[in-house]
Amino acid sequence: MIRLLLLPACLLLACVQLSCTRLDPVISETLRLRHQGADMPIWVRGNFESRKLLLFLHGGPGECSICLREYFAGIEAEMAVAYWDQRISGSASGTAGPETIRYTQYAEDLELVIRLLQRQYPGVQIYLFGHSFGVELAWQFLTTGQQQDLVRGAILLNGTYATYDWLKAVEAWMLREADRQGDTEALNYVRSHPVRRETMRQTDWGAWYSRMFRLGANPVWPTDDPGFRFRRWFRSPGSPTSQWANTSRYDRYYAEEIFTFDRSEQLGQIRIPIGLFWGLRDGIMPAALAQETLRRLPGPVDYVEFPDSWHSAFHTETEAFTRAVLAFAERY
Amino acid sequence: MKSNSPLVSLQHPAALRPGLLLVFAGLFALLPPGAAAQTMRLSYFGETLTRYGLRTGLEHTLAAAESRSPAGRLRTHACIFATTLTLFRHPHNHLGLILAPEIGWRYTGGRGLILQAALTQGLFRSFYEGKTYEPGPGGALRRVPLAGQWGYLPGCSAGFGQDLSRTGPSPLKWTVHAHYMAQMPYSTTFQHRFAIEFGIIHPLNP
Repeated sequence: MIRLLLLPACLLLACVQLSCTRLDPVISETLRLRHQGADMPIWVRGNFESRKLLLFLHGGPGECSICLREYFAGIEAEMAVAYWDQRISGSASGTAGPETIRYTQYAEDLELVIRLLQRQYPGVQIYLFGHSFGVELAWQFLTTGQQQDLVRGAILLNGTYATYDWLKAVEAWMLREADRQGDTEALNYVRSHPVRRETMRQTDWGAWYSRMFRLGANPVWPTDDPGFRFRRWFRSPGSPTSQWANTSRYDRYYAEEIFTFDRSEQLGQIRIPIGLFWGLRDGIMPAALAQETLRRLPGPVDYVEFPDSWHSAFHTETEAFTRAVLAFAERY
Repeated sequence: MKSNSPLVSLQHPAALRPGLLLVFAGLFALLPPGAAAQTMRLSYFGETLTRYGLRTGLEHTLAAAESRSPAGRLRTHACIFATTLTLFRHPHNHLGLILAPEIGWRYTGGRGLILQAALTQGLFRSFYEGKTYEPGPGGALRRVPLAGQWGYLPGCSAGFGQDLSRTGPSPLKWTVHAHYMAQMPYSTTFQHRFAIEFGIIHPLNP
């Protein structure tokens, strides 16, 4: 009987030990923001001696932040990183519904997250790092009122400032790639469904994305790695099953809200330092958008290209990405 | 905020729909008046395998049918009612507490092989790790004590094990269960949860 009792006890102790040894040496704190029905986790990890903190605005919408933590190890060695799961994303829980998936609500949440981090860590210098949808969130926030004064700078990787301009850039990229690759079906589809401002709400996302990926818009994902998938399921503070639930709530966003996003006129208000990072091989957010963004920004911009990356340079060129982030934080 | 969940609309257990409470009450009503539990369960409970926890439970046999194998060994089919209490930890995320009445079938073969399946109605409460804040009436952030989420957690399980009393002097059974649970509400929908349970069953009055 003792031996039988020992088995579950040993399994329990082994898991306690595993979780304890994952704690970080400098800072490891878990916070949560409750707002408008959403309970949003914020994991703060890394070296806090510099009092500098990178606030990660993940993509999607609906994706996760802490699940990508392993690509930020080099940054965590030098500064702190806050991994925030946005409402109805990643491991965020609560009772918030799809009607709260609005750009203005995300920006309101972000302001509260920043105020929470400032309250928790007085004197902290916060840098935003937006990726993909996180860039849209960052532009929404930074071009609203005086909110840009709350952060020291923003690093933005492969994301857009307006849905229409993004669709036009992807359309041009698909036409070019379909022609170059001899994909007649994709070429005919894009030609027969031209992107126009007045009809873009009729976009068939399934047809659009399937051809985009077939043409090589982003052929590499972290989830291609079985080790990444294992860690995400069994060793992460995040939860894939939470994410499944959350990502099923975005129908209204893709039918309505996404088409309301346009901050092109407001980019001229930006005064804080911007790091515009771009994976040049990306077809989801083609590099032409980088030039359009640069053209609209009046202030100091550090433009960094990642020639061997598609949509997520932190994954495909981790070392170069880390150096660029740390250089930006050092300079500003 | 209104939930789209077909079964519940709750942020607090008081909001549980009456029908759901009747399901819980109905399961307890199956017990004979004054019936004492016959066996006790103690298990490792791993939500998604590695989110470690402990499950304890008391079991009652509501009905049983016995037969003999061609070799003359005793075979048993039993309808089991159990009440379980589970605490698990998803590190750096939350602590989960589950109170779950369970009704199931257990077959015990002649050499002690156990096969079983069960349905559960769980009441779930999470307690978030770390500190939770929310904006107060003036906009200032204030701490939320014991922040977490209530939920309804129906589920099912299947498992196997061995009744050691059939082949030796030990009165124990060991069992392994795989659990599926659905936590609702969760962002106006539900969250799948999977767990493994590995433990022993001990008779209270051997």
